[in-house]
Amino acid sequence: MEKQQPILKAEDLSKRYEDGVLAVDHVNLDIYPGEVYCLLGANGAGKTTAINLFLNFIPPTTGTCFINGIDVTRDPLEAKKYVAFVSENVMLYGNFTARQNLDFFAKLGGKENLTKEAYYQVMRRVSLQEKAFEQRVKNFSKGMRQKLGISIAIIKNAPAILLDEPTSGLDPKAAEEFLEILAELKGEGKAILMSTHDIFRAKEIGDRIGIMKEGRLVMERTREELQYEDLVKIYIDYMKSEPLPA
Amino acid sequence: MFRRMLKRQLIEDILTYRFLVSLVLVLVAIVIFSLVFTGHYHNLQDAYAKARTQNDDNLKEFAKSPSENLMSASQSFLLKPKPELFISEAYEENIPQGFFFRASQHSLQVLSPKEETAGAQFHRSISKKEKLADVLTYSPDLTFIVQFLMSLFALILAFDAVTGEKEKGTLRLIYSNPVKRAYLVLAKYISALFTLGIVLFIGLILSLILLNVSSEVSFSSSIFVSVSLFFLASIFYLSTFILFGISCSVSSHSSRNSLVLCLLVWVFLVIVFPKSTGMFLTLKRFDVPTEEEINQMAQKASIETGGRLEKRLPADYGSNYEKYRRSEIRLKADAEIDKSGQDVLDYYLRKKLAAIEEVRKVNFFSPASLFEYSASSVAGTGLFHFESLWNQIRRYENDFLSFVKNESSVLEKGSFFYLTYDTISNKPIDFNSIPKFEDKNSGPGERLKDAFPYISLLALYNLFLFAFVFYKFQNYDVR
Repeated sequence: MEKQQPILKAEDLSKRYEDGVLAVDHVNLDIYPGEVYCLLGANGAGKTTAINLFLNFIPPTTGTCFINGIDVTRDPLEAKKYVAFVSENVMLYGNFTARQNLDFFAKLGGKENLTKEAYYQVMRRVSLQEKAFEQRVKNFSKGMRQKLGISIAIIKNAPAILLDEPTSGLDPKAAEEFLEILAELKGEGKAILMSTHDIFRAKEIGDRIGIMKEGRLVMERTREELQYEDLVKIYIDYMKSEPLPA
Repeated sequence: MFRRMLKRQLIEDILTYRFLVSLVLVLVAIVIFSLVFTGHYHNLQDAYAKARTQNDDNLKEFAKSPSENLMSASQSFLLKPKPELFISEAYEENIPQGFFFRASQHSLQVLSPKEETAGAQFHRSISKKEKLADVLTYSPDLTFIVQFLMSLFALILAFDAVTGEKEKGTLRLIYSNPVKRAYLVLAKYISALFTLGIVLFIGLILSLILLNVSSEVSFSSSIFVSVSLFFLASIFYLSTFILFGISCSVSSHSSRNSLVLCLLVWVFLVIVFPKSTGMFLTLKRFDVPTEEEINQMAQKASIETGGRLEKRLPADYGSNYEKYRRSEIRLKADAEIDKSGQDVLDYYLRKKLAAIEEVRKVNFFSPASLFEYSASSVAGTGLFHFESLWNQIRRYENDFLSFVKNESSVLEKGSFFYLTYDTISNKPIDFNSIPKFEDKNSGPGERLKDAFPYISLLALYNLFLFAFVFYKFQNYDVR
C-alpha cells in the first residue's frame, strides 16, 4: 500500500528572533491525514512560533514548512488555501453577527455562494445556540467565540487545521465539546496540529504527542506508546530537567 | 476577495460612531457657517454695490462735463463678492482687496484692508464703514471645515486601521487565509475615503441648499463646477490624512501610540507649520515695505523724475507755461513723471505677490496649505481672484482712456497719455457709452489650471504615503 503524504510537514525548522532568542530549533514534523498531533510545552517553548511559521506570519531562519506539499515561504497564498487556523482567543468583528463573521471568513477562505442554511448547519454542528446565529458577536462568551472560530475552520474545509491552545480558558464542558468536534474533524481525514498546555486532553485526543522545550522537539510518543507510559510524569520530568546544551 | 473585504470595512466604518459623529459635526458646522456667511456676504455685497453706485455717480458727473469734473473719473474697484467665497474665503491681510483708479494721473493704487491709503480713504467715504477691514473680516468657509475638522476625522478613521485589527485578534485570522497583504490596507483606505466622501458630499449639498434658501446669496450654475472641483481637491487632501493615519498605524505597536502620533502629525501639519511660516516669513523679510512707505517712494520717484526732466525741457518752459500747455513736450514729461510713480507702485505690488508666492512654496511641505491654495484657486478667490482683477483693470484702464481720448480730446487723437484739464473738452459724453468695469469670473479651466500644481503636489504626497504604507505593511508582523 502506498504511503500517505504528510499534509503538514516541518523540515529542519528553526527560528531565531532578532533579539537572539532561538524559539524553534531544528524541528522536524510530519502530520498525516486523519491525525491529531498535540504539541505540549511550557510558555515560551516554541509551540506558537512553530504555528506562526506554518502560517508564514514570520519567516523561518532555516528549514521549510510544507502544507499539502506546498512550501509555505515560497508560495504562502497557495499554501494557505489548505489550512485553517483557530487561535487561543478567537476575536471576531463585534458589530457583525455570528453568521456575518462566518460568511466573511468563509469568503476569505475561498468559499463563495454558501447559503444561510449552510452557515446555520455549521454553527449547529459546533453546538452554538440557535438564537446566537444572528446576534452580534461582541456579547459572546469566550466559549461561544471559540465555537464560532472552529466553525470558521470547518466551513473552510481545509485538509489541515492549526490550533493554538484552543481550549485555554474554556470551562470543562466547553472544552469537552470542543474536543468532540476535533475528533469528528479527525474522522473526516483532517491533519490537525494543536498546541496545548492541557496534558490530559492532549492524551485524550492526540494520535501523537510531542513535547517542546527551549525550541526543540525533545520527545514524541504515539497514542499506543503512551498506553504503557505516564505522559504526566514524562512531561514533568522534561520540564524539571536541566536546560538543554546549546 | 478584495471586494468582500472592502464591503465589510465599509459596513463597519458606516456603522461606527465615528461616522455618525463626523457627519453630525460637519453638518452642524455647515449650518452655523452658512448663517455667518450670509451675513458677511450681505456686507460684502453692500460695500461692492455702493462702490459701483458711487463709480457710476462719479462717471455721470464726469460725463456731463469731462474737463470740469475730471476728478470724478476716479473709481474704486473691489474684488467682486461671489458665492464661491463660501467654499474658500481665502482672506489674507497681505492680499489687497481692490484698486483705486485715478484717471487724471493714470494711476492705479491698491486698496489695502489694513493700511490707510488714499484709496482706502476714498473707499471709506462710500462704504460708511470705519475701515475697509471691517467689511472684509474673515468668515469661516468650507475650506476650514475640510482643512481642520475633516482632516482630523480622516486620522480618527484610520489611526487603528492595522493596530486595531491586531488588537482585536482578527489580523491573524485574516492572514491565515490566502489574502494578499495589500488588500487589507487598500480596503481600509478606500473605505475611509468613501466614508469621508459621503460626509463631505452630504455637507456640500446641504451648504448649497442653505445658501440657495437664503435670500442674500444667489448663484448660477457655475457654482456647481466650483463645488465639484472643490470636492475633488478635498478628496486628495483627505486621502493624504487617511494615509497618514494608516502610516501611523503600521508604524506603531498599539492603537493608543498610533493615535498620539496621528494627533502630533495633525497639529504640526495643519496648525504649527502653516502658522509658523506666516509668523516668521513676514513681508518685511522679503523687503516689501508698507503701503504708506510704498506711496511715499512712488511720490519721491515722481518728484525725482520731474527734477531730471526739468534739465531736458526748453529753457523757457517754466516761465512760458502757456506756450507748452498742450504741447507734446509737456504731456510726455508729465506722463513720464506719473509713470515713474506708477512703476514703483507696480514694482512693489509684483514684489508683494512674489513674496506671497515664496511663502506658499515653503508651505508646500504642509498638505493643509496645499489644500488651502488649491481650494482658493478652484473657487476663484484669494490671490487668484486678485491677480485676475489686476489684469482686468489694466485692460479696462486702457479702454477707458482710449474712449475718453476719442470722445473728448481737444488735441489730435492719441497725442496724450492720461487725462488732464487741458487735454479734454467739456463736451458732454453719453454716460451709457462709457466703458464700465465688470469683474468677470474666471472660467473653470483657468481655475483648474491655477489649482493644478497644488493638487499635483497633494497627489505626489499621496503616492509617497501609499508607497510607505505598502512597504511597511509588507514587512508588518501580523502576529
